[in-house]
Amino acid sequence: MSSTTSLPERSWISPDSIRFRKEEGGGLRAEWRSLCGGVTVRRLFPLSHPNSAIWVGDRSGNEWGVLRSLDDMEPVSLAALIDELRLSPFLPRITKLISLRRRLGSFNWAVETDAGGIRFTTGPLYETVAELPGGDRLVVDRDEQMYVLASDRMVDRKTRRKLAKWL
Amino acid sequence: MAPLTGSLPLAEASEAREGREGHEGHEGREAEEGEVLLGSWSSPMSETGRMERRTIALLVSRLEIRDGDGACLKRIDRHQTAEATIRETGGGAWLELTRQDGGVVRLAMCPLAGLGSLAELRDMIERWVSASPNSWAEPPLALAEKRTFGERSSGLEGAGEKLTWRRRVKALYGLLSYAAPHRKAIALSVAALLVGVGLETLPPYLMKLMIDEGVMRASMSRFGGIVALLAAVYALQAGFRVWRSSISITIGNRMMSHIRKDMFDKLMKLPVRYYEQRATAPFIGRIQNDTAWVQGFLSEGISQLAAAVVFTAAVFAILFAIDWRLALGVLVLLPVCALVVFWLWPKIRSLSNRTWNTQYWLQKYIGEALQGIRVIKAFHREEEEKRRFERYNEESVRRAIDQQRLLQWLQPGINLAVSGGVAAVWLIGGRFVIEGTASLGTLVAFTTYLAMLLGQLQWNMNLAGQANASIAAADRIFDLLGGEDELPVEGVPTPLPKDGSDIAFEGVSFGYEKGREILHDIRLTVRPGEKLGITGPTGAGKSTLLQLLGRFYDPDAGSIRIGGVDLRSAEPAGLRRHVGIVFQESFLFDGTIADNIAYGVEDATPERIMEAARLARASAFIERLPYGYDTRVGERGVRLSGGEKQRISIARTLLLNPAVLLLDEATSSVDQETERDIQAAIDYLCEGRTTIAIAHRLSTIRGADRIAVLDKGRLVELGTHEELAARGGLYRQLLEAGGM
Repeated sequence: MSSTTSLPERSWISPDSIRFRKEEGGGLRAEWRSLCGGVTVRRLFPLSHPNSAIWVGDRSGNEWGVLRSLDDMEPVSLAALIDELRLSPFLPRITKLISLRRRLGSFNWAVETDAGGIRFTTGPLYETVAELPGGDRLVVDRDEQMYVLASDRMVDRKTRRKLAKWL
Repeated sequence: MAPLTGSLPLAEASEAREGREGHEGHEGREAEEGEVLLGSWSSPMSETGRMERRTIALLVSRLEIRDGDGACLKRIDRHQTAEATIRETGGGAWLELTRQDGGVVRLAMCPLAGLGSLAELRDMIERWVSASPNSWAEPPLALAEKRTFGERSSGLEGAGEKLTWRRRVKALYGLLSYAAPHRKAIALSVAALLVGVGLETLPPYLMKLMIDEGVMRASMSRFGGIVALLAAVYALQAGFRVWRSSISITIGNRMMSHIRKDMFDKLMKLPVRYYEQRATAPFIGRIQNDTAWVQGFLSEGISQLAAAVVFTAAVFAILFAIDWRLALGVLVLLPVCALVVFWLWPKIRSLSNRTWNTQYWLQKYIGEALQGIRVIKAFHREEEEKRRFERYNEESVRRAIDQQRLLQWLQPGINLAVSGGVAAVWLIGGRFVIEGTASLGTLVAFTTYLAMLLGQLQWNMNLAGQANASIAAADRIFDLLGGEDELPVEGVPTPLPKDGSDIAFEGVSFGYEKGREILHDIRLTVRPGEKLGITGPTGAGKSTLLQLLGRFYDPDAGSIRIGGVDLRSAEPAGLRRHVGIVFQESFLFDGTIADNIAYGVEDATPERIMEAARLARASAFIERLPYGYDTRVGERGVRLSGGEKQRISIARTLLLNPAVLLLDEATSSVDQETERDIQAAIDYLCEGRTTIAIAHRLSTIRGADRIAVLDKGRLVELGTHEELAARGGLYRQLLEAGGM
């Protein structure tokens, strides 16, 4: 093994040590230790552990550290952070299936998501829907946009019936 | 991706909004405030990532963010604006405006489909920020434009509908086109079938004659004659069946071969990107099984359907001729049968699709597990993989059971209907015989015809199941055949100049996925015969640059030219001959060493193969092998070491003799001694050619004429080894890190 002394230590951020606020322009601002300013945040496990391992860094991409979890975070900070994480990555969660129609190899979806109503087109479902651990499913459309489709247990009966026709 | 708006259909809602925005929104306000609209941009998504419409309006002195009703939500003065930047979020991007005071404002957000449009907005704003005040007096300026991401998206959806219909007709035409070359044989088969149908309808009528004219009248001669005729009819039936089957077998297999060939041809034409997004293992099943289903339908199913229609019509005509009262009763049952079929058809189809999905996932899993068998064993994960297999297998079995259970109910149900129908006819017809309004022969013939009709109905249900599976298979085949071919050639294919051409990267930007740019604005010219080394940290975009030069992908922006010819318009075969590539991981096909060396050259003689191997420093190890050049290398060259495979791959490129040589870390996977050996082979290979070589080990490129250093997708340094080493930049850091 080569020497690890040159590797920078990972900075873990404890939830109670950092403050987040929304900026007037819509961005996110944070204060942690001696650092303060506009930040970029990213979920490092957006599908499997969305509420842990949140990367925090400045707008130029320099890392401040990684937030282990969102537990015990001050409520205003938590609200600001969650609002930002909803878009990092932008991964709409399908809450209701309005329609799913096949058009010779393509599937036209009309869905309600946590971001609003969306229509999109995917290829054949066997290629574009993948099961995630826990039962949720990942749907990838023709533009490579990803959506999370909740497990059968978490969607309404009509949605379940429409899905059962194809999946 | 397009918005879904309340109870209004998408197009109507969009028009309604556009109307308000266009007539009452922009123009009203602009007239009122004396401002000129220089440009606008709309998106179905708000800057907060909600599906709420936003419009960015650029006026002379300010910029406005407006909502779906045209109301101004935010305004930013032009003189406060410094620059516009796109910030990727993963799955989308924001456009951020930096103000002169350093503050940042999020102007807009787009999903992946709108990234191009967002870049246009950024450019529009940058032109707006830098435009001189004098130019404002003459609207429309160059930036007086309207970009509408939302409409563009929904417009595409409309186009998709038309495309679907075109594809549907094309698919049907395509399917029939496989049958077209065999139309004479098919016509013969149909003729045989029709004669067969005619013969099948005769026996019950002959039975009627046998009972009424022979048995009831006690006429031995008539009875014997009719029995002989019946035997002849059965013999003819058998003869026609054999004839028709032999025709179907021939044309069926020919059609299957044709479809398979087309599918494989298509797989060869599809771009690399197509395979990146899909598992390859299930293609084996698709080529084998889907073609078999379609072949079965084309060769047998169509003629059987036609036969079923003709047979049903013929039997009904006979039933009416025998006894119109009983026939009318049977006819009444037909709509009920039709309703049952219409109810069942989508269910069978859905179950068939769902079963196929699980089979696809199972095949995909098996393929992946077998490809990674060494890793599975190395990490001792056999038991875990067995459990995963069991999960996929169990799901596949469960769905197959669901499907078969429905069919299992179907069969006894139809049997019951057949028996019930026949019993009802016996009951009613028996009364007619007792009352003397019908003969016994008539009743026997009628019930026999009815049993045949209902038996046909039962057969038709099976046929429907087959047709379902065949249609689903045809759908998948045409999904594959309808895929976009390899990157298309723009305009007339242009041959590349033979030798001595420069290679120019002109503002090249590229990303494998939307929203993740790997290369940014690369500008670089490689002179004819020059040896250019490329280095940089992992993920800098080095290999991507070579992939673009080999035209496995096209740049998202900018162009690559060889001898002034844009690769997009270069003749593909010429490009492959012109540019030779030695990949980091050498792929060898399961054949002999000679086959692999001669892979790119059809008429390579043994002497040329041996010479290429000698120059690639491969001859020594090859010639020590018991079977020499005819040694089989195994799947992916598994029986050879990394260094041996790499030398064969160099020999393969040497034999091709390309004008431009691309080396993608060709010595990265071998030990130092082998590296020296291979490097010597590469040095020979490079002589007299334009060479672009990627290397992590800088020792392999320090002798290059120039070295390009990439970092985070940008060209950050360019010069000779000495110049770069003296400069103290990234190259110097890499050099020091490498201990050179």
